[in-house]
Amino acid sequence: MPKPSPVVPNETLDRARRGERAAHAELYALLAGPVFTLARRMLASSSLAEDVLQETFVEVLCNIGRFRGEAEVGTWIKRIAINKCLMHVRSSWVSRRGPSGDEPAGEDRGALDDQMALERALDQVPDVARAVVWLHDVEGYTHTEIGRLMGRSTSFSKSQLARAHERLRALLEGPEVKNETNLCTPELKTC
Amino acid sequence: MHARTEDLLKLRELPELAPPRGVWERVLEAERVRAATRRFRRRALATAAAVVVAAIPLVYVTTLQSPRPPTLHVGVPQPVRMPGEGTSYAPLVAESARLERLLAELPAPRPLMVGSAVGTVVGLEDRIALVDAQLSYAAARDFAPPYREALWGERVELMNALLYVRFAQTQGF
Repeated sequence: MPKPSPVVPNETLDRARRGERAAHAELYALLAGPVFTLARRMLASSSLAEDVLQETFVEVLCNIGRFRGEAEVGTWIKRIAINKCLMHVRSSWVSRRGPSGDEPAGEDRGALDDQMALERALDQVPDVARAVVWLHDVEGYTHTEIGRLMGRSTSFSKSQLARAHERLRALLEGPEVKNETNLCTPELKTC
Repeated sequence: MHARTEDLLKLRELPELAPPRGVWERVLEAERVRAATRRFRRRALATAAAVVVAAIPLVYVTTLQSPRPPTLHVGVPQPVRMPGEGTSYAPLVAESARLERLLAELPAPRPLMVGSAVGTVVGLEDRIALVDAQLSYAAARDFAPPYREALWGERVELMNALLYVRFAQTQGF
């Protein structure tokens, strides 16, 4: 089941389409959290996620008047955010940086509860695999849809998901968390 | 299976994160700047178009009134010259033509496109139209090559961006 987007009242959407600033602010208040969370989880960096949040809502404000309602507005806005995240994932800068843009990795965190361990493990999954696992497991996208979004095949999405699960398993089960994100080697197709 | 492996299934239960403060204010500011830029481009395009339209009769009358130089007809066919051929910006002209061809070969856009994609395509087409109007004006007034080179460079960049967006649409983005 895909993670549901917050429901935007039709009346708010109508006012937003007409250009009412207050309605735009309501839309932001409803969806900024889910969009920021999505971006933060996909990119493992708060500063990049903040950029994506800002760029997404600028795009929303510029185009809400032309939104025809062929999908839920929350789904439409998340789709914009996903495309922006994938642009970051594809950029060479993101693939060259460390496992997380802002969180200390490994033993610095001390004793962790399950949720924190999962968050930390997710941050250490390679960029593309992390984006795939989030889109598939949380946002409910199919492999075909993910392949299309990334300009790749369905089997590419499947293999990235398997890789992400395997990596998460290793990170959650193993006592030592090693940072292997920087070992991304295109020759070996590990990224 | 290790007990903690079950945590894999709990990705959806990770808490929602609070967005940082101040982003909404930056969104409003960026949107205001973007709208102002778009308005400026539209006005500039309209002005450039008006200048070109106004210049056409003038150029026509001037051409009619000028004594025509005698022409020499020889049997050798004249080669077709691309705009800017033999100039510093000829490669940019050729690249622009190549991108035009690639764009023409793409399948027609779907009738229902995502709003953001429509906005991007319209924005890029507006900017290309503006550059085209400036190029026409520069050609009519015989502006210096560096100025035209900059315009052709901008056109190639915009065409590249448009091609990328249109290609992404064909892939279902």
